Amino acid sequence: MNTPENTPDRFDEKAAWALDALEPADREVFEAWLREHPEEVHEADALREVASRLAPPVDPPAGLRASILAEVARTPQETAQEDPRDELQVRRERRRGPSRWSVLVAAAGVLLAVGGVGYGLTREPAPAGVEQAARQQVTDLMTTPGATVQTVRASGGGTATLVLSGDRLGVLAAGLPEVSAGRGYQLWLAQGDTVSSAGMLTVSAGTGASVLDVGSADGLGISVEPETGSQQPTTTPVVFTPIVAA
Amino acid sequence: MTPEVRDSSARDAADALVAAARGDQGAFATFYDATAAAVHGTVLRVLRDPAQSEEVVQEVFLEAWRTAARFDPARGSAQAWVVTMGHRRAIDRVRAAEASAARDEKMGVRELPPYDSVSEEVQGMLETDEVRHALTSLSPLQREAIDLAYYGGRTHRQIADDLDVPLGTVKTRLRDGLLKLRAVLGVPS
Repeated sequence: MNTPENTPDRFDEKAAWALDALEPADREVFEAWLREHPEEVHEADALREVASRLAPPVDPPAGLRASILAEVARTPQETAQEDPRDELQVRRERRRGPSRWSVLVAAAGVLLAVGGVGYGLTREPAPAGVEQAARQQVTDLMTTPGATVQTVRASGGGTATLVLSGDRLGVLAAGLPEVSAGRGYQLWLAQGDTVSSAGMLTVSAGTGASVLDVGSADGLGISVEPETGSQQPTTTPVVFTPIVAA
Repeated sequence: MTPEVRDSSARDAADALVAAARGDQGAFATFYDATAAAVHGTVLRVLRDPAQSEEVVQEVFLEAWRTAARFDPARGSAQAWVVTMGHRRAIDRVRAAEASAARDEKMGVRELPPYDSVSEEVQGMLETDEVRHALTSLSPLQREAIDLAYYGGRTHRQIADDLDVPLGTVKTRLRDGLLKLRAVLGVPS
């Protein structure tokens, strides 16, 4: 096997690796070599970047986006410290556990909505691009025929504007109080007695925007949570409102 | 797309993916919008079957969601990260189909389906002036090797067999071709 022609020359294999042209066994050997040669990683990554641009972009079928995002909403993520059994446990409990939503809503009238809200520390500003893209999406939703728009007050100050078009719900928050370091605003969708996370709302200078796939949810909540998100609301939502359809 | 526009949208996609790694589904939607056409285009180019391609794109984005925390912006763009996942899944399917076709052949004989040249088709499909221009900078032999590898899902050993040239020659063609593309496409070092 070790003729001059096929003696492994790992340097030359960077291109083949970047093009996915290595057999699995060769790929493993190459990747092990790459880990031992950190000075070569940058070059290999650059070639991979080139390879990733070699096919013309083609828009996927329109329905695929909603189907992927719906699947995403019920798919747990890997995290560095996650124990998969814990996640499973949490999901089981969430599925069969009693709703805490109605309790929270009942409590909202009597509790001060200050859980976790503080004014001392400034968080890192949100990535401007993400915020702008989401804002643009909400603005686009507003201009779609038949979209309904409602604005509600947040109990800690500020407002949330909901734009519903089909099963897409745009949320535009403004004037929300700053939260303390390590905390953030989390979005919730309620359907009957169940509440599920709709992700974190990136808020910068009190404003934030997000577009959700609303499915059959009929309520929207926003609460202050640890910035990594909670499985269920742990503080009284600053916003809780039925989603008004046309 | 000008380099400036690409830089700024690449940053947006990376920012969105980083936010998605923290559970932000809205950011993941932004990431999808920024990269889905590139992933779908790549997968479709390899599989040439719309239904299978749609399936693969769905698998890829769910994998991207699950493993978003593994994305390292220092190792490249968010688009390259997810396109690479798509490309690998697509060629895995091509290779699995070839392997199962091969199993159906006479015992012990590995008859792979003959490779149908896609160069002309690629030429026709490539709408991106930038990429078309870059590909025309390749020598015909470099172009052929890259077509076979990236679009055809052939490994470098298979390409050596297909073309009846030494493996070292294939490696050199792939490397020189890709380095030339890198220079023309302006991917910085």
